[in-house]
Amino acid sequence: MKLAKTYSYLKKDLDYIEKALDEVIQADHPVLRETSIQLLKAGGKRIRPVFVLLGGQFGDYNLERMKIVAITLELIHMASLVHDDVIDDAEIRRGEPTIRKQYDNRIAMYTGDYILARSLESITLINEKEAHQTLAKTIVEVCIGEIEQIKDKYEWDQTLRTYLRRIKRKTALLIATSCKLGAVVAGVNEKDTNRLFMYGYNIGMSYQIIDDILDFTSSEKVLGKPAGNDLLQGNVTLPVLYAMKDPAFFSLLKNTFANSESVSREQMQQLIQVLKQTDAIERSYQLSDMYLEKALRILDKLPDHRAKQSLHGIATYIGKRRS
Amino acid sequence: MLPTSSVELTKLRSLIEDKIQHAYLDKAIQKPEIDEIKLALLYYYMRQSKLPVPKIEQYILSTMFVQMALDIHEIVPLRNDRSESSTNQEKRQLKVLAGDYYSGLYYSLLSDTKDFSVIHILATAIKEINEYKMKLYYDDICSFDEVILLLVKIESLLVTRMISHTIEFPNIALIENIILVNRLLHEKKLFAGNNNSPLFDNLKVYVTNLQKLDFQNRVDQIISQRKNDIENSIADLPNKNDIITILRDILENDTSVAKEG
Repeated sequence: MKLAKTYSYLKKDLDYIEKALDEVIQADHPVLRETSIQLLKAGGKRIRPVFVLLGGQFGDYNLERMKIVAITLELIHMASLVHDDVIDDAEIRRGEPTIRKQYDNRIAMYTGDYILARSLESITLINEKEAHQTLAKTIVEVCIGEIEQIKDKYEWDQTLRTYLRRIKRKTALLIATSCKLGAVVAGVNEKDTNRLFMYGYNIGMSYQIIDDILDFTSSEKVLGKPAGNDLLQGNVTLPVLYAMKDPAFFSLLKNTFANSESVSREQMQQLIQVLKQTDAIERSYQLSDMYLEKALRILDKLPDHRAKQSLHGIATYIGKRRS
Repeated sequence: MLPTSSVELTKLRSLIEDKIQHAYLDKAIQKPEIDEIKLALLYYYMRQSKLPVPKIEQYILSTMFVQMALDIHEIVPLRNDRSESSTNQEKRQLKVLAGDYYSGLYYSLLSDTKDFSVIHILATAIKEINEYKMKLYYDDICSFDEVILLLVKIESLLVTRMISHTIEFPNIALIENIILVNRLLHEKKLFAGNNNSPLFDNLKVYVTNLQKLDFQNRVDQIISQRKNDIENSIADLPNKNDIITILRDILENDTSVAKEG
């Protein structure tokens, strides 16, 4: 089943939000306008706005207020993408040249700062202190997560706990916050709001773990980058953490990265092959499933609503993601 | 440098440093400089407001966080060098993230006290500053005056917007002139020291019809004109001596302003 089918009744609202996103990034400067629109048109699943709307469905759903929160979350995501491309030296995003590639880093930095400013301008139309505190904390935590990721590069002795804390900050918090903010703005009671946050958190954790698995199991064509690219960049993800328990893999890994600046494609392919021979992929899926099951158990406690079915559908979709 | 005897300014400086402290960032990249003049101007004007001290501190800190965020993003290298060392690569990456982190701190600080209107004011200023930066960086600007006009906006908008929010009828032109003169003097000093001023290098590219000497003369002219404007403006200010102390420290070699006090 296609992901969008699980929340097809929101299509009209999502189209409305898409239009609002387009309006909000109409900068005065033509290049700033062009780069912002380029990011928007590159698409993406708009999963954060979807979570906002679904969270809001459990309360007093007011589309105008939902729209404000949804566009804020999507703009924050967009701003982080354009800055991430500078960080990662990325040339292609969703099949198109990145802004830093097409222009330069400075234009990419200005675009990201501009979009983040638009998102904060937007969210101030909402008066709930809790919404602002949650969002602000998330923005700070996401940055800390990315800083930690750089700090932890090539740290082969890092713990599972370090990894989990990192992906919580990097991915799970923004999804959890999307679910929560929709609920807060719709006046959902505190218990259910927290449940929605925890649902989002667990889904986010599961999603990121699968993403980290796919970096090894998917093809270059699907990934848009060579398999094992995260490891090549020095990022120690869950499959690597598990595989390092295997002495053969650990030894090969150490040898391969003895000089991290000259790891060849063949060496990476060999590492991936050895990693796949361990139980690392299977164990990683198990941990992802554990988060997924937790998300579903939390969902059970929410009142019956078609949004609950949609959230269930999204969880199932994420859990089945294999490419 | 500003007078270190100013207890309040020292306290503000420490508060900023405490809040932005991050062990790894501090180790890996140079700590961002606190723009002392902007800090002092914010303090000078905002203490004339009826706001309680904690609120003043919060507003000043937020504005300075945004300023540092924008400043550090300004020094991200233009292009990624394929042969850059892993240390330089890490520095580049962390400069991007540090700026985003400081932006997050500004929002976080203001969201704790429901200051949504101030969040909005600063966000709008950031938006406009990036529009001006794009114009200065990307467009072909042939007029020296236009360059200066854009520079004034880029450098002073955060401060003037925050001050305008907290007190009635501040002298915006004076604030802009002080910030501009300080910036131009700073760049001149850099230029004299090692012939390397990022701002002047950029300006020379835009001001294509000016020869190097003409360019330097124009900069000196602007500094001189704006200094006169500042001197004329401060006569009517309340607590004039405070701002004169600030100015004396900026305009290091110029004692005329200080003498007036």
